[in-house]
Amino acid sequence: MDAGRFDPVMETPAQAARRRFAAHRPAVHGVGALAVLALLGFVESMLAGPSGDPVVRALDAGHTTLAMALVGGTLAALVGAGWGALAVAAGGRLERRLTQAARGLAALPLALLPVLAGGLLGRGVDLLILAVAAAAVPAAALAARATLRARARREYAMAARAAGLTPAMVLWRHTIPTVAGPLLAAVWPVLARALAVESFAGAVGLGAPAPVDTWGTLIGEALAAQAPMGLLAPALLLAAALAALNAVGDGVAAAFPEERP
Amino acid sequence: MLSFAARRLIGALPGLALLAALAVLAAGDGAARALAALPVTLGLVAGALALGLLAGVPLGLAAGRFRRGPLGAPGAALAALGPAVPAFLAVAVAFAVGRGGSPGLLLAALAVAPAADGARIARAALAAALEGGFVLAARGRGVPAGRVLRRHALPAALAPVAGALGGMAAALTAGAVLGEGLFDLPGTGALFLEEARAGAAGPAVAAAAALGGMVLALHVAGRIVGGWLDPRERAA
Amino acid sequence: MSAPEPLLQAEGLAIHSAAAIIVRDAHIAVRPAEVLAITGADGAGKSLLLRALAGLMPDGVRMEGGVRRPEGRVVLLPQGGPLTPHQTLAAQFAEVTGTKVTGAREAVRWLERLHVSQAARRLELYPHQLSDGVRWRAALALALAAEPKVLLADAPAAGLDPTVRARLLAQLADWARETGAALVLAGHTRDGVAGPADRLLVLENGRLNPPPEAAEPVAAGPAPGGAPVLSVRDLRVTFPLGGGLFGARASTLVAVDGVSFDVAAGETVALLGESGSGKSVLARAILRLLPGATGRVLWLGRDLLSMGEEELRHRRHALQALFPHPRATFDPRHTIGAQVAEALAALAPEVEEDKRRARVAEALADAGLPAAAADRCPAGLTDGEAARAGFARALAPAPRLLVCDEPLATLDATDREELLAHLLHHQRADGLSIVFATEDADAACRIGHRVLVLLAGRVVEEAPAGVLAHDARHPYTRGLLAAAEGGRPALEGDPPPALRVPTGCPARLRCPRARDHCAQEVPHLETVRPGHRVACHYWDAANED
Repeated sequence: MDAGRFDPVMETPAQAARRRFAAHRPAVHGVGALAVLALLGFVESMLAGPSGDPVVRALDAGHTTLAMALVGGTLAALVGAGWGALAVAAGGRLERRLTQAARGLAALPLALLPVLAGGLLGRGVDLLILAVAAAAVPAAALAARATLRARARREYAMAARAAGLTPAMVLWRHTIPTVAGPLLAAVWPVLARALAVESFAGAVGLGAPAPVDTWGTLIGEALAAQAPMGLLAPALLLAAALAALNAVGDGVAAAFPEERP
Repeated sequence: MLSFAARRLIGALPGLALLAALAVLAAGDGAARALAALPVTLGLVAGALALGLLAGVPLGLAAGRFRRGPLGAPGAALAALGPAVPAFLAVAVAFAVGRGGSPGLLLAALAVAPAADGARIARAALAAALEGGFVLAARGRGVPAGRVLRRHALPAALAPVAGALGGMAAALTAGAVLGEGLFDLPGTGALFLEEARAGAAGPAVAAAAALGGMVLALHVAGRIVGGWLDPRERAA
Repeated sequence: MSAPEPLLQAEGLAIHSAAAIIVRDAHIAVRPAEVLAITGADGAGKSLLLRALAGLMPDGVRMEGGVRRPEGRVVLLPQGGPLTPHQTLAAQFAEVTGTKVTGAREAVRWLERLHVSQAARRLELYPHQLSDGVRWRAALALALAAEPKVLLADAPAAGLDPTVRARLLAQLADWARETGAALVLAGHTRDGVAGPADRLLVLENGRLNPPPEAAEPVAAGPAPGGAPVLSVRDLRVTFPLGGGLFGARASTLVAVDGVSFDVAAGETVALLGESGSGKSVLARAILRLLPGATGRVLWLGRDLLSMGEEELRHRRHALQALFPHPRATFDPRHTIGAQVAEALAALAPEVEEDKRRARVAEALADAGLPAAAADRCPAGLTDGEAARAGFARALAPAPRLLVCDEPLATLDATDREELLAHLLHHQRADGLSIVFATEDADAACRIGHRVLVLLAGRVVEEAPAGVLAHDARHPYTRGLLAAAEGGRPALEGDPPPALRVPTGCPARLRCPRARDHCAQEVPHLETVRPGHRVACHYWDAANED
């Protein structure tokens, strides 16, 4: 038995997940980076008010951009998880149809959807968020279904019934909490996807409308105004945020590894 | 193999038909315009895929083979870069830094994303294959190490890259849309952007449908290549 | 006359990773035509030991000490018998022998020797297109086609049914003795590697030792008499198979086809069979843990299959179960104690909170676990402890019937004996009735008072355990008994796949006694003597094997 920091025999899975995440250096750095990107601009804009300098504007836009990505991504994750759960629960032909539909949609360039929406239906934050979420749903559905299928734990459900639990109790008290962690790891890429899609819409000039600044719209403004060097600051911050989200996602995945049978 | 390819192609027909119908319904004759401009976009996307994968996959393979040390470092760096630089971002930065410029610059910028993705996937796949039982089994039978790498590990590492072709193509299409607009190229991407900005629903949808069809075709091509490299995919 | 020189020799072999010493100071010597078996728990280091002997260490693991290898090939066959997925069998054989022509010739020779039908046709297939049994035979054939002087096989044929595995291991041993090669088999005790071996070593805590003295194996006492508490009548379990376009009738799979038996208080009935025999489905259907069952399951006079859900739930406290993968039957997020308490709360709600805690502690102790185990999560348990935790959860509500589906599957020899001992103790003390489904004929005859042998969903032989062990009449039963004692079953091929059961007698494609009549008529149970029935057309033929 190691006399180290933890006792593997007594550790709960929640503690194990936290430990594994913390052991994943890039993930921890990623959390820090995201926090900085979100808070720095927020604090700065509260204190100093609006500015014309492109770098300052880029920093200020951080919290808005990340907030939009969070909302859009969460929406996509919920819809996608529901789609995946429905497929796994239904089984048989319905599952195959649902999965094929998701696969077909995921193959398309869905990043064009918010651009289309913005151009045809007018630019608006609500519409943008919906369109961004829609673009990310199919991939989320596929990931959710794969995870739910892999972690189905039929043996547990059968043993629980033998122990007198009703199917409802099994689902609510055991299946859902156990599957929550791996599901989070599976749908996490949705956040980065939402961020990228929203930024693309902004970059072509059809993103969030005027007073709202996101990194994407700042890039679009710089391109349209023939002052393209102004896009370097928001571009850099966007790249940093995407890298950070990806690193955190790797950490979350490491926190919930495959169970050995 | 032939029947597998045929099945994949036939499987894509409903999707393509749907998109074609959508394009015609939306824009009537405008659909032909969208289609006519497609070769430019296809050239950009396919060219970027070819260029990027040709550069990125070997680096990724090297990184998978040499987990530590200088030989694997460039591939590892490229692979790590991937998630941070979507295709459209590389295009925007290239335009800004290059102060406009040639279609060649656009192609190079577009190639960054598939290079990084290809490196990432190839690296992970080769590392997994080398740890996998069948590589050990081949070595265990006395097959020399070089041959094991070339004939056993390599095809297993390349199959996932082919499988990801569709996803890469979709991301590249977004990049091409932005790029054609900035670099003034007469492709369907530029057409899409023009119509969308003008609020012209029909032609915009038709252009989007044409782009969708192109991506779908590339996706199917990727799956066929994947099936050629990995026979297990043919059963799906 | 001196003994021949060892072909493979290792002195003072040590293997360590950055974190731990895996093997220390191992001495191995294997002579020509000798079969050495190395057993040990999962993770003990057997695979690394074989890799060290082959000279194929992974990154990050270092080896010290000398290994003397012979002139001629040393072939390693890793766990799982993996084959390169994107190469046909023909290509892989050609690579080993040098040319396509010799490859094909050697492949057919070895595959036919291992009894693979239509060997030439299979050469053009890819590994994923082969069934497990054929794939394992292909992997073995590939290793043998390399004509090794020393073959290091890691858990060969693991995961295959006992009769198939025992036969393949026996054929490997034959090859070694014929060609004068040295054969080293590594594996868990449940992989049956000790059977054909001349010598046995155990890898434990990094040291290779000769096996310890085996303790006296436990066995059930005399059969209690008495009226049956459980009566199963004509139980049939079917599963619908997908398919059928436009409402055309989907086909069904008959997993259990009309099985009847009784269990008295304090009696154990063993269900013996391989995969696809229906024993697991039967065991679970008895407790109505599966849909699709017809027939009657009478528990103390009431039919479990036809009563309402709530009524059934109220009776579950008396009807408990053990499952093959105990750790998977627990929620990983809660402690063992909490889950046993939860089961008790659901099954015996009349027990108050504080009495419940005492009962949980009692159940853990009865199962052989320390009280501290109550605060551990499933991930912190060893396989043996997890099995005992499952047993504790089943014991907590004081059951009268325990249905066990392969509860020993994940356990090594010591844990197995302990769990059996606990089961038998409780049976004697509390009059617990047990239905025990297993593929291990030895366990079935030791713990069972009576044994039912199942094949393709039907009983093909039933007898008291002692009678079955000495005078089994069905070739399939005799095959299972031979596999359990490490001998060579007289059965060819693989168990019939559930979807393509042969016409007539389901065992006929594997049976050494099969004749034309076996294909035409399904045999019915005939009485050999009181209490012993067999379903075989030729059960009274002399037992040649």
